[in-house]
Amino acid sequence: MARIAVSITLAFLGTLAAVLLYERQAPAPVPVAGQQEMFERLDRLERAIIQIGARAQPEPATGPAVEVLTPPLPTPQDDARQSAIRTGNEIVDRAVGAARWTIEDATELAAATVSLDGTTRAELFARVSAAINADQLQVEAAARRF
Amino acid sequence: MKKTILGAIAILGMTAAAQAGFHTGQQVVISDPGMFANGDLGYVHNTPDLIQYIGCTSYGSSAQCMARNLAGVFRSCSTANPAMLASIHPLNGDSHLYFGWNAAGQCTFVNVRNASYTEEK
Repeated sequence: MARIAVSITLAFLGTLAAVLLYERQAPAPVPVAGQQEMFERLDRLERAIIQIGARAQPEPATGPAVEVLTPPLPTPQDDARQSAIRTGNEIVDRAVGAARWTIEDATELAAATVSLDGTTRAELFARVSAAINADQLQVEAAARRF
Repeated sequence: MKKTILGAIAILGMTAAAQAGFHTGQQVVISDPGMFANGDLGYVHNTPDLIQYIGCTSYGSSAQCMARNLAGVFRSCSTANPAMLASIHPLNGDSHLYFGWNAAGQCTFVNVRNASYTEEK
């Protein structure tokens, strides 16, 4: 907002200065009383315009350099974890799609998620529990001990 | 003859002593509105039906609890909560198990009771 006000002021003063300069350069056949004083005012006005314009220039950045952080590259462990999570979700999706939870599903999910941390593994098994509790999955007798 | 009668009385007395104390047993109860299940593992194991089931599987850093009542309703939950895992750890064949779940299939609580009055397996 302040910058806009400065710009408008500068434009106004610039126009005024141009008009006054034109009048100054034009021959004045008849001396006007107080003309010298007007010229002095005009000089002061020009200096003021220059100073305001200098202040309006953006100051160069003097703060500390901004450190650009790049994310660490994925490690083989990250890839293996993501692969295990993806496989686990695929097993659950497939079972929900078939509306059946079999001993093969249970064994496959347990094997696929064995390397995962407890929280991630529990989240995958919770998906199975949620589907069972919502009666979306029929649990085979052998798979009840998942 | 007299000795035989006395011996029989002694054996009966010892049997009574072994059965003394308050005992209780609970089959699997599942409440869908309450989102919980409970039951006595020993009692359920000893029931003649082949339907009921209750217990937990621990994987160390995660666990699942499950129950099936006489009507065949099966419910389960999963947890990695350290406090719940600590509760599951002492679960044995004579324990009373009580667990709850939420819509996401996560266990909301797991209680295990080991007491003198639960039926032995």
